[in-house]
Amino acid sequence: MTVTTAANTPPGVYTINVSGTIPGQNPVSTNVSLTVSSTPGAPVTITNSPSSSTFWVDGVAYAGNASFVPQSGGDTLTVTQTQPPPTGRGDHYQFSPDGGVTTQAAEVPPPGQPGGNGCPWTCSNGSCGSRVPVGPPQPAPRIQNVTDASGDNPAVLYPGVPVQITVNGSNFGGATGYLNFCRPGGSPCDFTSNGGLSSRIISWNPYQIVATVTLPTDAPTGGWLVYVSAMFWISGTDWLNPSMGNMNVTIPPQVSGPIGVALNGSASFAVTITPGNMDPVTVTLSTTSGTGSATFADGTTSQTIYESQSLTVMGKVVSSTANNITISTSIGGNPFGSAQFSVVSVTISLNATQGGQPAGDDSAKGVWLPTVLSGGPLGAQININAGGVTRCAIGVELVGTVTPSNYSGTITLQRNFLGGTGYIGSGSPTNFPAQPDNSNIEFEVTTPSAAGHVYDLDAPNINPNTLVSRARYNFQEYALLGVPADPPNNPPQVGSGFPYYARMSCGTDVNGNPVFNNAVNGDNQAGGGVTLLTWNLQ
Amino acid sequence: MRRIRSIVTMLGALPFIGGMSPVFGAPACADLENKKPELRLEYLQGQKSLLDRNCVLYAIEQLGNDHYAPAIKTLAGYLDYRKPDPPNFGSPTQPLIRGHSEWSGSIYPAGTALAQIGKPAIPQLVEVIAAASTSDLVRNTAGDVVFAIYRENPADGIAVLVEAAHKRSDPMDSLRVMDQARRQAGRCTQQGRNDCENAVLK
Repeated sequence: MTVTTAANTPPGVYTINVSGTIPGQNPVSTNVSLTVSSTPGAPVTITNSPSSSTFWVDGVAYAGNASFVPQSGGDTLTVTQTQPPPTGRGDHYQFSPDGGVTTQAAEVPPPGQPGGNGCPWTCSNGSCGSRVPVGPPQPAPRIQNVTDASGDNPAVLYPGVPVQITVNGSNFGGATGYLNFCRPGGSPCDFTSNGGLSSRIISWNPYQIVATVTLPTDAPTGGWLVYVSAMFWISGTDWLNPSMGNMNVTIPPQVSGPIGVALNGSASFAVTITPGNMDPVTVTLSTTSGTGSATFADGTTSQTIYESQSLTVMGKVVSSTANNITISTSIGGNPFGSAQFSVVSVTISLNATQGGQPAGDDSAKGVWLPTVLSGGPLGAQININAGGVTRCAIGVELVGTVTPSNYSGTITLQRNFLGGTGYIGSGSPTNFPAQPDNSNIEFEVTTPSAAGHVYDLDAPNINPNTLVSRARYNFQEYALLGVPADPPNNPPQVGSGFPYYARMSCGTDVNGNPVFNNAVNGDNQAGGGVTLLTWNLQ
Repeated sequence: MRRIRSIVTMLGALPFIGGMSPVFGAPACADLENKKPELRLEYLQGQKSLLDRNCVLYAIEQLGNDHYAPAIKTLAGYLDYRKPDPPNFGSPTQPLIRGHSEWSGSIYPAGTALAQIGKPAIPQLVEVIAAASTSDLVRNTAGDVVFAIYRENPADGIAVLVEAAHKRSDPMDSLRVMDQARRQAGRCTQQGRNDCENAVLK
């Protein structure tokens, strides 16, 4: 005699207690360890041979002497229950009370809960058992629609983001069961994208289920399905063809932009909204720690948008620490994409003390110092270029002090030559035209040091002349919040420009080598501000 | 785009003291603006003698700014490609020259580009230094680039060259790399000189 008891369980190890009675013999009861390794949804078949002391579960032999005779109250099944699976249908059993003509399904209730519809499950230490009742199946759950907190029908979900959904319909039963999520395809649907999915039931009644669902971060976008596993008997036909609710999975709003916004400057942040998303997206600026603030162009800190667009953010108060301002998106109170940034300021100063050294954390000095032949290195020095030619120069180190000091973005010091005049002796003045005048990148430090400094080393110079060459140069140093680029991609200036000058007079010794000429007071130095362009500085 | 600077100005017929290498303005090349690095590299791989000088300089600068490692070998072939002197530079009629700090890469922009790309360029630079066919100018510039790449700790750059020299199978190749290591050690500042010289001896 063979009785097929089909159990549709997820993979795992279960202990099954089977008892039965052959007429004229004592009742038989045995425990077997049932290892289910098949795909969830596949039936488990238990086969018994009356002439053998062995029975088989999915073709695996187990010792025992068992027979399966339907009892008036049904067979007894016992399982060691694992945590309810995060996806797919929960633990449940199919059985055929009339010899396989029809099939019914019974859900295993969550730990500590009884089964529904008179099914007297008893649970202890994670092990539940029930006498399988014999009776007609109940009407299966029917889903009318699935909505989200914003009222979208179907509900809109986002990969990796917890979203509250409401399943409306009928016949859900009074006992809390399961929601099963899947994609179209398969039978009854496709669970292959569910790795990492989690859900939590918030409330459950016969007509409405409220739950929080978090789809995997790599969940495919498009249509998804949900169906209800209720805690009562339904027909096998209904079980195989559950009522499905529709959901729509889409890409959540994203926001991107620079990691720094200049104090009293502006920057553009791109908010990307998937076309078709009808919900208003709230974009908010907030300070997460310390001090610092930014606003949108209209002075507010919150905007509502309905499609992708760029938002202008203004730096209002400098950040006290890096990345302490967040621009975030949300829909209906659910947070989505966000980005952190700093409001940045840079103050420039000059280090040109005669005989001084570049700062210890000025890593550009390794390449710059070999250009100093003698003197200096800061202040008056004899400079040697790559071709071996020597000149009178004034070594200068421009220091950009960055706030916040732990800002990690690129800041490039740049320089404009504002103009100058050269002389031979005291006459023949010649103007040098204004022009951009940036250092070679190897003489710059563009990533703030641990102390929050960026640097630009230079040595403006003049070639020597037996009649004395004189040079009076004016410069303006400024900082860019990023890497210089061709317009219109050039990054914005951050902080005020810093004017400084360098002036020098250069004669020659008897061998023609350059020597400084100190005949003019205040000559051969650099300093903040502007220099007179006269030969004698008067 | 980085702009390189230096001004030569005219001042009558006074004696010229020169040999410097200032350059005016920035190279501009409409054909290569807003193009991908692949196309700029492809341009540099064309027949050098037929290429537009401004476009070559522009491509080199941009490949460096992009830290475009696939261009390393090609850029190494441009280590002697010099920025042009200003008009009339070197003329006795231009006695005053406004200049700035310069290193090899200021004159040979492929050096700056390779320095920007950084350590991935080291193996190719070592090959250039070791090759018998390399001119002294290019060999020294390549060594300067190694020095620039390790500018935060030049002794490490010296050590890299010494290690590379020891690995060469050809003794003459090894000698050329060691010579460059010694030359670069001589450029170390007083504070770091001991470390650099010790690196040569390892």
